[in-house]
Amino acid sequence: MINTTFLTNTLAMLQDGHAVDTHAPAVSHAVSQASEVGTGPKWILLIIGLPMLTTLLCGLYAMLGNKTKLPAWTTVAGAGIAFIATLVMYMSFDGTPYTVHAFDWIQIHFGEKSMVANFSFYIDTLTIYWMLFVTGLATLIALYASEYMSHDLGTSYCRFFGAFGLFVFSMACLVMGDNLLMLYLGWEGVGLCSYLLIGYFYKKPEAVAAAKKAFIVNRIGDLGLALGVYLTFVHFGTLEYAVLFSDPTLLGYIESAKVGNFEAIPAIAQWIPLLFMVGAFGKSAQFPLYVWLPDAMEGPTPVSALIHAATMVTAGVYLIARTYPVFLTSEHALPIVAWVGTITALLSATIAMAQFDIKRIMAYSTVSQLGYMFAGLGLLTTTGAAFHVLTHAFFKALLFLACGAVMHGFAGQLDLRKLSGVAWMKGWGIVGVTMLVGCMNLAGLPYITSGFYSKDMILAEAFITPGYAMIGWILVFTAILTAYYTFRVYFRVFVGPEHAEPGDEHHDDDHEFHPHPPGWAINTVLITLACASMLAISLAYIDKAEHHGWAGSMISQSTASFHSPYAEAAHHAHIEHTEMHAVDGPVGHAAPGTVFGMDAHTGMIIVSGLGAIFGVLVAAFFHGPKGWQGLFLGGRTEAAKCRMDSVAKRFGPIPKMAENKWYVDEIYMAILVTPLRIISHIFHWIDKLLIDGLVNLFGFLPRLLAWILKPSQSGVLQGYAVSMAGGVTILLLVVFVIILQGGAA
Amino acid sequence: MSPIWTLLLIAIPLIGALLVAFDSEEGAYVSAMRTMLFTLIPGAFMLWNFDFSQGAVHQGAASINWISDLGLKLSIGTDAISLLLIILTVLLGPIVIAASKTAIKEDRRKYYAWLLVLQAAMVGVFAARDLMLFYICFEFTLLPMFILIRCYGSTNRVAASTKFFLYTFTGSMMTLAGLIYVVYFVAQQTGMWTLDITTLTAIAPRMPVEHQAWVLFAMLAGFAVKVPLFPFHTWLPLAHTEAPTAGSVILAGVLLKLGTYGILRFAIPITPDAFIQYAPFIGVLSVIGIIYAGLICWVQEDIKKLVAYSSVSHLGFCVLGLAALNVSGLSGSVLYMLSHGLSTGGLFLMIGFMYERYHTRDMRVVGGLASKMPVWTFFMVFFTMASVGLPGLNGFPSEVLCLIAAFQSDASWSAAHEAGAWGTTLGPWFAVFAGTGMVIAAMYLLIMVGKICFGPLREPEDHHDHEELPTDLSRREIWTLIPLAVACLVFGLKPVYLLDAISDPINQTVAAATSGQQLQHPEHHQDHALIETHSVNNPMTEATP
Amino acid sequence: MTEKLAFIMPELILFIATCLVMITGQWPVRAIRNFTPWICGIALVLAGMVAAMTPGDPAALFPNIMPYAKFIIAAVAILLVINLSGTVDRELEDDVDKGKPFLPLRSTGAEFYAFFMFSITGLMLTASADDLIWLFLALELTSLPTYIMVAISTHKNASREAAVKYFFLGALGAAIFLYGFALIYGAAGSTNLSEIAVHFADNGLGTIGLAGVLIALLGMSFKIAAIPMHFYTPDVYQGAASPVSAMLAFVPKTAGFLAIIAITATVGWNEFGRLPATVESMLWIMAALTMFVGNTLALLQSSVKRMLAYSSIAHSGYMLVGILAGPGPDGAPFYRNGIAAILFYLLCYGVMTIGVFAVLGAIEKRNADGTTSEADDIEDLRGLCKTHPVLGWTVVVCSLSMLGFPPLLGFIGKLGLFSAGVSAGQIPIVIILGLNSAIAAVYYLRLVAVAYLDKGDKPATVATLSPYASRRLAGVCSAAGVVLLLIVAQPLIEGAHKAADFNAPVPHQTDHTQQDQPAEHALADHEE
Repeated sequence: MINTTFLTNTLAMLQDGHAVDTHAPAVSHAVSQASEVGTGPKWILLIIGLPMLTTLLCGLYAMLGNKTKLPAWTTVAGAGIAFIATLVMYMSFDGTPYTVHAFDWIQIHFGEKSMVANFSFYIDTLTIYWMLFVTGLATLIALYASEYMSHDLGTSYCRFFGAFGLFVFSMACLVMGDNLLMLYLGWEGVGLCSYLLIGYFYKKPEAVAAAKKAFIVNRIGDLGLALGVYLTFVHFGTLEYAVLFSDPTLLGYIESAKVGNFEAIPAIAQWIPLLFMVGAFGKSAQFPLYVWLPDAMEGPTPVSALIHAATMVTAGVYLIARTYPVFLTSEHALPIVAWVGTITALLSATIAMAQFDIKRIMAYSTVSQLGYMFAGLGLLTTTGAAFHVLTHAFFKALLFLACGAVMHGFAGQLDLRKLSGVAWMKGWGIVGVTMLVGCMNLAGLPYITSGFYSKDMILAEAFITPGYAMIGWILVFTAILTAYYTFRVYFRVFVGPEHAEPGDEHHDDDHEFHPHPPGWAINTVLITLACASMLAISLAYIDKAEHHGWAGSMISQSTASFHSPYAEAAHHAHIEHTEMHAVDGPVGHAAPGTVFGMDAHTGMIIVSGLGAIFGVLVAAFFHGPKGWQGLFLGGRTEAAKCRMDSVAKRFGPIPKMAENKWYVDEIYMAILVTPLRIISHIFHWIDKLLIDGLVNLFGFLPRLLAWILKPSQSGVLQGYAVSMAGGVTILLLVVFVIILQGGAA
Repeated sequence: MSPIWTLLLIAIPLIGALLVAFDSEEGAYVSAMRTMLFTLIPGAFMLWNFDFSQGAVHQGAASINWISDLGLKLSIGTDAISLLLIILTVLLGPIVIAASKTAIKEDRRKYYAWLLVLQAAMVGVFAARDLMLFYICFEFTLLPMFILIRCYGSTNRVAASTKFFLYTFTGSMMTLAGLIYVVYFVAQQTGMWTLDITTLTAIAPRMPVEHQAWVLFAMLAGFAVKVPLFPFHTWLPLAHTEAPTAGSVILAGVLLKLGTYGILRFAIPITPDAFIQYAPFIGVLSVIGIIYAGLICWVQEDIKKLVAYSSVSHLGFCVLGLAALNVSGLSGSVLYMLSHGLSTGGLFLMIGFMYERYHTRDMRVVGGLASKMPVWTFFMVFFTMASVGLPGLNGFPSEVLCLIAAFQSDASWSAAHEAGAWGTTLGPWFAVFAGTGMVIAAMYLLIMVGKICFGPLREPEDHHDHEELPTDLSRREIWTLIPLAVACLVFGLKPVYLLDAISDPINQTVAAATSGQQLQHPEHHQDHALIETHSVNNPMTEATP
Repeated sequence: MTEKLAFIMPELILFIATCLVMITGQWPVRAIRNFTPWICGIALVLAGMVAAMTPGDPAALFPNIMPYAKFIIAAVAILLVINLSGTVDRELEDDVDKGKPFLPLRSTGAEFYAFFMFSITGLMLTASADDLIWLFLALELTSLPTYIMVAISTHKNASREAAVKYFFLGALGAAIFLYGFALIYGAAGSTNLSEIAVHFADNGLGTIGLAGVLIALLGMSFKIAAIPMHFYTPDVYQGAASPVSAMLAFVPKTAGFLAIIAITATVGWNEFGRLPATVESMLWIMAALTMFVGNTLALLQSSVKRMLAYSSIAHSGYMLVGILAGPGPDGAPFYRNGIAAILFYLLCYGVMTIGVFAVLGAIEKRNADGTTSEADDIEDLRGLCKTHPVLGWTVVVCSLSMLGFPPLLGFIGKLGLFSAGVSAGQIPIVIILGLNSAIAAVYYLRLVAVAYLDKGDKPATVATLSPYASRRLAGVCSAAGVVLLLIVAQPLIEGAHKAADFNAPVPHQTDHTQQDQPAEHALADHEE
């Protein structure tokens, strides 16, 4: 069985080896490689242009004071056409990447060299893969939002959809840009949009704060990315993917990475991925930069679903996948990525267990799942990571939208202690069912959910790659926790005795509260997503033999392919390297690629499958309602009380700490923000007193001198006469002293 | 390109100033506006007739002897860089006039007349091809600005204007001494006392490095104060805070650039070796400035002071690019000169409009204006993002180029080890530390926006409603902002136009500056350069023929 | 001896005019009395024209200095006349208007104008002096009349006090430089400047010669109001009527500088263009201190006259830089020739300072009791550009020019000094000069601000026009001069350059050791 795995790999290696070789020479050093890599049809610019157009239109509507749902329909249409265009792009793609040039952006020429970053787009399977779900989800969520946001039609409605369109545009630039500066443009653009949309309810101070936090924390990551980009240019002399990935220097480095001698690769080159990594951590909310994402839930739910669950947060994964060759040249980058991902996954899962705000639970689960993806990247299975990105995009969007529907219906109520049996209320059936689907996917119930397959790939890889078994076990444990907290939500909120308290958005107290169930738009979207996340299972079976499914086949044709001829060897290099300092976990000594003596994949199917089911049962026991709804385990009879409460007491302060997110925010505040702020105040005073003080002192010196000299102007004749004579004498004396010194004259 | 357009650009505002001065108090605004709009015509013609294929050639050159015994000529001519700066100046003209319509209530004639004079002087600085003419215009800009601050500023204006004038004047006296020494040196070499910049820049680099160092410091004394480079910046926040809106806009838009322009045009070509030697030193100062001023912004409550400090921080990037002394650095820095004024100028306009309505700049007193002034908020956020350096807006390309330049200028970092063409003055650490400026900028600017635009609405107690002004921006105000906003977008999306235009002169400058370097300094290190500072001895001994 | 007459033609003209003035000044007929200043004016115009045409004296050390110096003296003197006319006898004339008879004994008009003309004559004579005796007499002829002019310029006791101080201290100064002359004579055995120069060139200036030169220079510092003999300046300027103060600012200063040029020329500048170390170091110290003392003390003044007095001290300091730079090697261009810079700067200084003084004289402040008194406090100028735009702008333009603000006349003048100083390698003193210009900016800006910009917190006592219309004219003329001379600056500078070519005495046996020796030490001094 092991052999089969490697067989597939080698097979793939050979094939893509050809693929790479066929077009690698075609790509050569040139100022603009557009001609060499083949130019794509211009209509592809639609995918970029339409969202921008919708933004402009929304701005126009705002000016015209439009009060209808027109902005929403515009956006849906725009995103929809973009999605169709992407589909066409996918259908018509023949395996060789090409670029589409919109216009020149930044170009400077020094001597024969030059720096080129054009507004042009690089299309390969990775791009298409990402764009497919980005545009698709954007369309659906825009549709959802058209209803969800309907309570404030008018300017803010336009504002919302304007930012929405801008986001899709930026995301497209990020994914499709053909050079690192375009990627950076998109990167910052999505940051801006998330800033604008988190702060959508700008009257709420916490929303404003959250928006600010998101942008600033992201900026820290962006700094890393930016430096990485600059360094790439400084070192490799180009910013364009096509030139970069065929750059002999880079290929040379990878050659030496193959044989595991990283000494041959200059430290600068090894720094580049580390810097990229920082950027990825920021955007994809990995430890230690994840703190902004949970707060980002202050934004409207569609935003949370699209930006902070499905698309934007996966930009970090995309970045690493896109620049994978560069990552392969670094000795430490990928291991660090793997470990950071794992730690993040575990940490945020623990936090998610103790939250009561269902949206926040979803937020932390997002962080946790992103952790899985990073682990996947670090474990050299870009395929696994990419596939998980896709499935996660579907089910997490679904979960958020379902929670959003609840929030919408119950006037902003999100506390799982105040809601119960929602699924049974009139008109909430669809929400209940779709939510269940989402939960199952997130929990990763074996065989019946897509989440299971994608997660499995990553877990399996952890055991295939020697030295990473520890990571594997941690991730398995996390998977159990995930199943637990996911179904905790489901059992508390959606099943059991019907009970609902309105949230704080319910103000008119004259008539008592009626939850209003979601309308057709929301339901359609929920159903679509539910189906999508179920259908995604099939993707795991599309040419499974060769590439572990469709995702694999897409990835393996792109530069992100780990199965490319060089990377295969680099893989081994990494293995050797990691073996040197492998973490001796409980099963650290297990022979590579086996779990309990089985092949990693089968092993994982069993282990993680059982783990998931176990988690669900535990959730059912502690939170499930009485009767079949609680799988005959639960004993909950009313909304607020459940077995967990008593258990939690046993653990003493720990649940409280988990609920307070292990005080990470407070710690940052204490060790970073406050000191910096103090320093700023100190600088402020230094500036005021010391520097400006010195300036004023110099300004004051002449006046001081004047005060000293003033008495000489006594106005008394004799005084003048004396001082004149005295002055003459003194000057003469000075001169004669000089003479004595110099012996002159 | 015929010199007539440049001359018109200088003459029209001066004539206009006279007309305004003798116009009625009410008519002042209109006729000033008319004059500024007139200047657009020759400006457009300049742009139209300029041959960008030879951007390095000073086109439209003209020269009149004035005092030949002192070598004073009135000679003008513009290459691509000065042309673009002139165009920027010309474009800002009508904007600042329009911005002052309601802000300036009494003594309008004096105000607009001096604005026009200032305009002429600024064009003169960029057009001058004669050292003394440059210096004269450079100095002359002080007076109108002094008057604008002194008469139309807010509470603390007397102190602010005095400090502004004296600080910069003192600095530029040193500059004058340095420049005259250069002229004297060239006169010794060529036997004739010429102030022609081209000749000077051609001969002056023959100076021994010690002399160059002294001259460089003398020049920096003037230019660094003008930029302002840390630690010579303290006049700026004061001046900015007290100045009327138009004053702040011009200050940020053009006057600060005179310093960097001076460094680019005089410090680098005249004292290349010394500049290369001390570039790390200058780089350190600018990096300190970036971080230090940025952090100070963070704790400002006066929004205008905040923006003022932010431009200290931003100009740090500009100087860093110059110090990198390679093509990308100089391009970035020139781009910065052009673009910084747009975003920061825009911010000052926004603040001005807000101040006209609330008569306070204290963010603790006024805030959360988004609900009351959506349009204003839109532009506020826009210009904030522009100055945060959001890609696609004007701040970004220049910032990127400056940082890349800092990286580049340690050639050992490139795989293909390019030689001096990439400069050897700075290194990655400069870029890394300067880069933190990006984060800090995001921090203080977003906090500013968060306070002033978002959150619950806060207004001064005594404030009832804006007197004659509408609640949100008036049509005039919006039209004041739109050109800036458009320019921000254009600069952000098509910097390639500008970069192509300035590429010739910059390549030449770099080539000229780095040519002598290999033979003079085969290799040197930053600390080495810093130690050098003390070992330089008094040029006076060498000065005697 | 007769050939000298050709040189002193202008002086003769002025002398004749003086005699006329003495008569017409107290002529019973009003018209003729009023014509007196016109006589002075016409005479000065003539003198100026003649001066411009008179040939240089090839024997002198500065052969061509005479025509130019006399020309600018005449030119500025015309401004002075316009400014001075009608200063005295105001009350008397009023009585006459009331029908009282004209009493020559009460009139001081005649003396006033006559003394003025005498002083100018003396000034011109100083320019053409080629002999110590002549120099001394010329200087005294320049100064003595001014003592009395100060006394009679107003009826205030202040001016009498000023006159007394001025006289006694002037006597002290004269005594000192006369002593210096005596020593020089003792050392060189001749009173003829050229011969002295040759003697010094031959056998160097021995201790006595050196002492003589130094003491003489120190004495001169009284005339130019420089350290250490500047103390009298503020009191005297303040005491005298502002037109007279204006005159004091220009006439004795010019005389002093001409004399200093003459004396230093006897010592001569070596081939490095440097004075002997001792002389140079003393002048260097004098220059530096003078600038600092003048500018810093001016900062504290609220009385414009005192402020201008200190600024006149400071300007002497600036011009001393020219002396340090010296005329440079033979045929040195203008930018190298410090003497030429001084000659040109004297003109600039005269024009711009007269402008401010004239405005001060042209307005008077109205006291609480309705009486008017001469404007002196800086507050009296407040808002002048609103109340009397012409006068206000005169103040603005002239003070900016004194500040050395480009592109006004003062800047061009200073540029000459700068370039001369730098080219002569006197960089430290040039930097000091730059610093001082910056310091000076403070109080000149105060003038500008008060007159043009600041509203002022308390309602200022609105200054009214004084009855002396001519002073307004003088003010306007000098303001116009500050601007218009820029256009004709080139010929003026050429003239100054021509005037300042120095034919160094050719030593009989060449022996430079003594002279470059000091040069070295001079450097040593300045670098600490």
